[in-house]
Amino acid sequence: MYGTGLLKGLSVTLRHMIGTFVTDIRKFPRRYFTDGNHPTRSPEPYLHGTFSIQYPEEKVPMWPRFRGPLVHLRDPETGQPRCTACGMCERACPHGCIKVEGEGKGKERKPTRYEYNVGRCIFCRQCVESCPFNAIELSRFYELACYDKDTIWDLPRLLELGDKEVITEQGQFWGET
Amino acid sequence: MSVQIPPTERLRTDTIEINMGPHHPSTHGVFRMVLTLDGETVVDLEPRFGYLHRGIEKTAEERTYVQNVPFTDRLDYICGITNNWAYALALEKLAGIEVPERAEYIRVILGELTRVMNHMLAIGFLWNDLGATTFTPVVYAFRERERILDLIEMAAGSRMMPSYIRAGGVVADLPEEFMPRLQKLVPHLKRFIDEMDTMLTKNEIFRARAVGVGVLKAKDAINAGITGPVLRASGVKYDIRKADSYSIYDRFDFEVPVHTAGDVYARYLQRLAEARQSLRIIEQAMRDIPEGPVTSLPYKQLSRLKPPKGEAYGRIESPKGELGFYLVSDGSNKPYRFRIRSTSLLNLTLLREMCLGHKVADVVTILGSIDITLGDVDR
Repeated sequence: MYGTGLLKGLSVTLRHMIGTFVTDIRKFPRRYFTDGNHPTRSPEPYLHGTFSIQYPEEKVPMWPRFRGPLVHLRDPETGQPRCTACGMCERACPHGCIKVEGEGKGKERKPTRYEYNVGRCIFCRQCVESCPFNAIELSRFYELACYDKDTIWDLPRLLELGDKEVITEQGQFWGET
Repeated sequence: MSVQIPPTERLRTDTIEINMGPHHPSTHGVFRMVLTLDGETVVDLEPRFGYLHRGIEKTAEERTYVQNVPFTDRLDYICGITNNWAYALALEKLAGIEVPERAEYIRVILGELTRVMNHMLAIGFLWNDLGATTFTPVVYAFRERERILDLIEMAAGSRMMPSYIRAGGVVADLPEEFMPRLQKLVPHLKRFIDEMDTMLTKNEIFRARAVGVGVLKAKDAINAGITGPVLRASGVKYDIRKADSYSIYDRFDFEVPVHTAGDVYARYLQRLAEARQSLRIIEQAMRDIPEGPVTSLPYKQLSRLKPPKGEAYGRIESPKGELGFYLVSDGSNKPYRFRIRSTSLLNLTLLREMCLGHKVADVVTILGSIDITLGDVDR
């Protein structure tokens, strides 16, 4: 009969619509809160229906490996940056968004200037992988919109961001690489 | 009762030339078509592209082999994983790099997930292009895509720009939560494909708009170098996974579905069938995946890689068709030539022939059924 295909298709959408309400009642008050107050990444088990995460108030946690902007790590004993301004990250970056200047020789070498242009960064993580001193890592920040063009971040700011993030070791979520 | 009008007294009409795009929402990006219309019938069509040209091929010649991996993500930005894979294959051929067993399985799993995702999205967008007053199919497709992207993000750290597959293996081993989630996801995706099938396949409006529209003959398709689901929907059983088996595809039991009609409807059915086969491959790979190392070439060695002088062409069956990278090495750490045989560009070449004689609304449908990504067309 003409039109059965249409009706059959519409039954799928109808099932989803009803499923939304049924699941909402079954999972009262919030279907996507599974552990404490944190929404999970994908709602599990896979249920019918739709829901919204109320974004600015509720945030989805990022995966440990999420590649956000670069941060610097501190030496846990001295509290100083581990960076020795060797320039490996500068050379590894495909887009030239890192500029490093340093002074001193050998173990005394410290960065005098470290500029990271987050506006050009593509978050490919090659700087981190090239770093031989365990000094940098990518963070899990993602709200990078800003009102003025302060896209060039310097070393104090990168260290401060690194303190906010709980990463202590390079590649701690990436297995043995 | 119809009145016969003598030919001499017929209303004289002029053809009109209009631009469709580059900002038209149904051109999937910045793509322009110069249409010559007689009334509402297309009498000529000329595709104009290049609006998204970024010069990736030339830029890549100035960067080292490993620095080019993020560029490959940005070609066909719907399926980053398969782009990485094609480049990795070419480089492995060029430098003679071995790939560990586990890495091959990870590649297959993620590559096939990408295929499912791409085909679902293509079907969703096709419906969007048809002007489905229900925006439903594309939203459903996006929802499932997000679940697949979630897994890719878990493994690679980025949803659409994974840079995860590199010469010599993959960047890092899969996280612990990956496999349990994948085991839940695969049956769910199967249900979802069945659901799409129920929802769309027998829809009378869809059939009226899609059956017999944009017919592509097998002979023309072969002559133009069209590959992928578009070619197979025209009745040619050509799949690089079988024809020129790469990686470990010879170990899996799967079929290459073929449809013969070559119209928009056949391409839709083709994508559904291929997505089902991909899930079959994932199930087998999940069962057989061994433990072990995931890369034979850590980053610090890879960044200093200097392949011997020579050339290599690596190709894979990407979700849209044959994707190849042709690399020429002059012995330095940068490629001398970095050529991309992009799928979308070649699949677009017969757009004019497919569209002639159809209405304007069908042009949108035909373009949607070819499934192009402008990042891949223009590079």
